[in-house]
Amino acid sequence: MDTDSARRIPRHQHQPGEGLPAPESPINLSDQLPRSYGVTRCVLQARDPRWLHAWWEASEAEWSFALARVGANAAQATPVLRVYNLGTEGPPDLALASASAMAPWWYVPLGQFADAWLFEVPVPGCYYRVEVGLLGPGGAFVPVAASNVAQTPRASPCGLASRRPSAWSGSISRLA
Amino acid sequence: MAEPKGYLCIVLHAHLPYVRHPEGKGALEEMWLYEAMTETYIPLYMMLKRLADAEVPHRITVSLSPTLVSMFRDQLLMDRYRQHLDGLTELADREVQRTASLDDMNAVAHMYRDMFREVRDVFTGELGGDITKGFASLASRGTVELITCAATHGYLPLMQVCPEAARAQVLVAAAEHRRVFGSPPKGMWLPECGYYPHVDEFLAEAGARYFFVESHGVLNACPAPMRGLYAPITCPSGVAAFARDVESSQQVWSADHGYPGDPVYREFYWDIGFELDEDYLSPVLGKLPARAHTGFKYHRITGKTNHKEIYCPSAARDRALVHAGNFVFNRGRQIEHLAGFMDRRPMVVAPYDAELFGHWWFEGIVFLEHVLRLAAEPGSGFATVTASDYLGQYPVSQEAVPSMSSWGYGGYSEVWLSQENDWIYRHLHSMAWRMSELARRFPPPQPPLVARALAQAARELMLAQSSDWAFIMKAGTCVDYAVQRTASHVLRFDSLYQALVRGEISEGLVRKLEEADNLFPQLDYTVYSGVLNPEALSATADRITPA
Repeated sequence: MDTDSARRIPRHQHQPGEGLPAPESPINLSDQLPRSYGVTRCVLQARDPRWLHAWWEASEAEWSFALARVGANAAQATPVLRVYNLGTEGPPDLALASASAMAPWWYVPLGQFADAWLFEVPVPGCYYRVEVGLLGPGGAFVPVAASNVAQTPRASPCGLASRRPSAWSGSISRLA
Repeated sequence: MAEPKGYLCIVLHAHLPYVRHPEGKGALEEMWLYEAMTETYIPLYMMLKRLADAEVPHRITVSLSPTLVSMFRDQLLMDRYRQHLDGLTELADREVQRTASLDDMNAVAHMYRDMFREVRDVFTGELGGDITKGFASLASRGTVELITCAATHGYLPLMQVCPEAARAQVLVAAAEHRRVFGSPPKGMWLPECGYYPHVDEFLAEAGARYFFVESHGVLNACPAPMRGLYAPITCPSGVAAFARDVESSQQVWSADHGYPGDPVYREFYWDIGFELDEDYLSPVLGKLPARAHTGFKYHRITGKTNHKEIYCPSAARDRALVHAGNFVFNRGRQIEHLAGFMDRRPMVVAPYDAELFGHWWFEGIVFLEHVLRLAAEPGSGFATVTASDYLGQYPVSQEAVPSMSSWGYGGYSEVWLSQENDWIYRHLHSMAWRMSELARRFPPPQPPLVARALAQAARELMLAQSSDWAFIMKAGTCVDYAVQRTASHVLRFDSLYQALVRGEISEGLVRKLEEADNLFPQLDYTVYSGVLNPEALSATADRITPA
């Protein structure tokens, strides 16, 4: 039995009791969760100032096509994320491709059967974008899906000072 | 009363995930609701009513999550709660007899019997079985400001890629608040204080004037906040962001320095539910599949030892008064200090989970009552207010955008996005996009059955999004339940989606799921069709397919 309740009071969330599964749901949970939602996509989201999370979905055919283009067999190709740092201002709308072409980038190696990855980035408060794909033995990269742009939060106070006032008036309004 | 030098804004956020299990006779998770009602929500109402009746000048903000309000108004759950209260009072009578020869324990048993009888009488009599009426009456008396939070407590920063889902969480919550309490919420509690830039635009659309963020959400705002943590900033949407105060939080929450760890306070984890004969406990635990907390706890924290002394209610109450005095004294000095260099009266924001008071910290309600009484005395140097009160006095604030932040461990999204729970997001995001697809594909008017199926799909999506499931998976307690809940809502949504797109929707399927997950009876599924989804569109547009 735990004897120190002060240390066990959770900072947030109510979670009393030991907790055991409730009576079985009327839906049979042995059913598989959807394995695919039928859309090739890569989704990127910021977890904190230095960590991003990506998940992706693509068909076997698309991975096979990438493998063929990279010119390797499955044992030689490495699944990777190509991570683009788009800077602190972010790319202009609808110019992702050109912005990515000019942005610094690096590879993050993935597990062979991974469909999601949590990875560290060097600079907080920046916009990032990734492509998931295959890296061939000769250094050729073939993307399978490209992500949205995600911004990591600032880790320190903003250097910009402004005293512009603003107020609520029942709808969006500004005074200055 | 002398003019206050500043203000204290106490915010209690009351939330439980939707734990209604009509298929069983007594799920353990429903006990979460019954425990919190008995130890926190009803005693909190009774305390606030006592203060209002005594005309103690005070203001306090209470956030009632829409899932909690839905359970408060659910006939099945409230009938079961009445039975639970009957069981508690029956067990209390047994406990008074069992401990008759043990003076110290018997005094505690009498305390529980009096407490449970009073809670039962208030719930069934004064409240008529509906605690929302009690809080609404306090709001109408002007002492309590009721606000809401996201519909199912969805963690909004991880919905950035599907903003229509975040918008629906906010707008459905506001609509529910209006339906139940008769007016729109003046402010909103962001689940887990989770904020990301621009989510405030949805709050503005819902008519909310303010929200609360963790301290670094304001400290790292852009431009930098010129008044620090002790005055709000206004987002470009016009909605004000108030920062949580570190000092007042530490005094109540800190494991090392917080009040609830005092040795004279009641020990939470020693409960007769895990010690006495199961037949003897049957009035409370009779229908449950396993042992659980009963609420009868006879020991005090004592110290970091397995030896526990018997709890002494009068000593614990006296200590709560001392701690309340200390808290008010410290706030007075803090506010006096801040007022010395600020160009307006400072406001210290002290938000807490409501369940801390009474449930986890048994004496917390007594502490709160005396904090509010002492703060109302002329010598305190400050007054209690709500964020609305402060905005009424200072409607103009510096414009700035808060930083993405939460009050979870690490200050960002680590709790809700880790290797223990990251598998849920492909489902939650995909479901949100599919829900938007359904809302656009089936614009109103639709045949009644189709409209019901669409609304139910939205309910299943929202229930899957509850931040509680990811939190429990990360915390490692009752993980099976959190996984099962997430999976069941994913599957239920998928069954509705497949049936809708194939034109095979059936009355049987819709009715079965409506009975299982019956919250938000007036949910308008078209809320998912009202916002463009540039991230989703860009992700789709960028996809690279074989030539």
